[in-house]
Amino acid sequence: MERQALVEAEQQNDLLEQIAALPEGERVLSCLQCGTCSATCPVAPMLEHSPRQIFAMVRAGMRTEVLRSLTPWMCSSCYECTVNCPAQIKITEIMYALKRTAIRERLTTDESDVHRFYKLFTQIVCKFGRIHELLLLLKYMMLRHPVGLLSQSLVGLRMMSTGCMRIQPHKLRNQESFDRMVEKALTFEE
Amino acid sequence: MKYLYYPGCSQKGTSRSYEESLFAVLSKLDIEFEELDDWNCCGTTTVISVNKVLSLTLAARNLALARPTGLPLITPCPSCWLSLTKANMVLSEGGTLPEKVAAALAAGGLTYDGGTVVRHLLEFFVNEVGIRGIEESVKAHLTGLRVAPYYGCQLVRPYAPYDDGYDPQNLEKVIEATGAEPAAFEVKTACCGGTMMTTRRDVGGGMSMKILRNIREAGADLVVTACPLCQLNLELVQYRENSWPRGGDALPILNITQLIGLAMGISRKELGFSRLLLPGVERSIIGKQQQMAEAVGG
Repeated sequence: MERQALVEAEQQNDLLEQIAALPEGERVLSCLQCGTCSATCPVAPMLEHSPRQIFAMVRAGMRTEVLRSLTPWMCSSCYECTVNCPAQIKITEIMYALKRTAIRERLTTDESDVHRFYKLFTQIVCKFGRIHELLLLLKYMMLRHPVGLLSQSLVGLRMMSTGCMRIQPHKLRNQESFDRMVEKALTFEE
Repeated sequence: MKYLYYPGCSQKGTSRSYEESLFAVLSKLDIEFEELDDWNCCGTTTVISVNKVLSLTLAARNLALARPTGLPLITPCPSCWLSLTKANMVLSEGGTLPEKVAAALAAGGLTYDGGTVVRHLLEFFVNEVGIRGIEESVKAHLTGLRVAPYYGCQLVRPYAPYDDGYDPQNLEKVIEATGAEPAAFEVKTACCGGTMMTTRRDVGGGMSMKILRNIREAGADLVVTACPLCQLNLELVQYRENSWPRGGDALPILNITQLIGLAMGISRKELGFSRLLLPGVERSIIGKQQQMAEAVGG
């Protein structure tokens, strides 16, 4: 009976299909569950769901659990898993895809605010063309860690004194062309 | 000889010491780096986590701006190198992504059909300037200095076209060219924690601390990196935790160009030493150099 349920889950598994349809996801069905990804992942010991477990959960159709999991947000993009996967699954790229899907479907977990950092970073780059560290850190810390802001301000002041924290954001020369490009890129959901 | 230079955002902010030392070294080598006009952020690992088309478009705009010059685009940042290289790869493949990126570029009045060669600075030093070229420019051999070559992740993963992905050697080659001795340690391609140093201090800090412990065990006097984020994170974790051994000094974390510059006899000011985060690091290197000079002199 359990086996039957699993087979059915795989048949109606739109997250699995969605990942397999990605240019980087075609090999997801070749996962052997060998655990090499979890063994090479530097953050795996701190995760509730190791990368191997995430792939088992995807396979089992646990869509919401996967998209609400902290695992993709704790991925540091170090590509250890990707270069070591014997099935040649592009795991890091799939983690990016899970993050994008979680944001799009508003399934980001409140346990982590990494997605807020990523969204703020993207907003600043869309506006100025380059990242502005001071704005990013101020907005991020004020939003989520007002107490941490105080302890961080020492490092920030030190970096301002060495000239390594810009006060004014950079201005692009071709701002209009850049804006039109960004506007068009944002019309695509991928 | 002239090359096109893609700094990346860090070089204009947190990593000014990397850019200043790079230009000081280039002027000694008679190499001209012309900054890509009106460049933008490469997208790095952050934007691709939010919107993939946007991320590729940001990278592609830089490639498109560089294309008319016909010059290779050289960047000191591994994350920029990876983002730009990945965009080149994806845009040359089939599927709908290249069409979407082309449409976004067109909205901004740009086109890109491939062809911009992207190179990382470390590989440029090893293969273009050449190890012999660096050796010939050395005025003050850094004999006796034990230097830990820390690569981090994206310089060698997922692609390592110019080095061994599991046991890279390019940093070691440059260290040896300066007369210093590379210190072998296990975790030279481990991740520093990246942006988690800000978003998850517990996790990111732990990752950087582990690397520093390993380097200290290897008996290194200092660390060199070819990545602005690795350099910042290994300094930041020491600054925050005040974590160097009681009574001891912090472990200096230098950009590879600062090490080359020291060996060329360029002043510490020109090499951006005063912009490093850790106070006192300059002192500890000067101390070590004085010891070395005395040892040589005596």
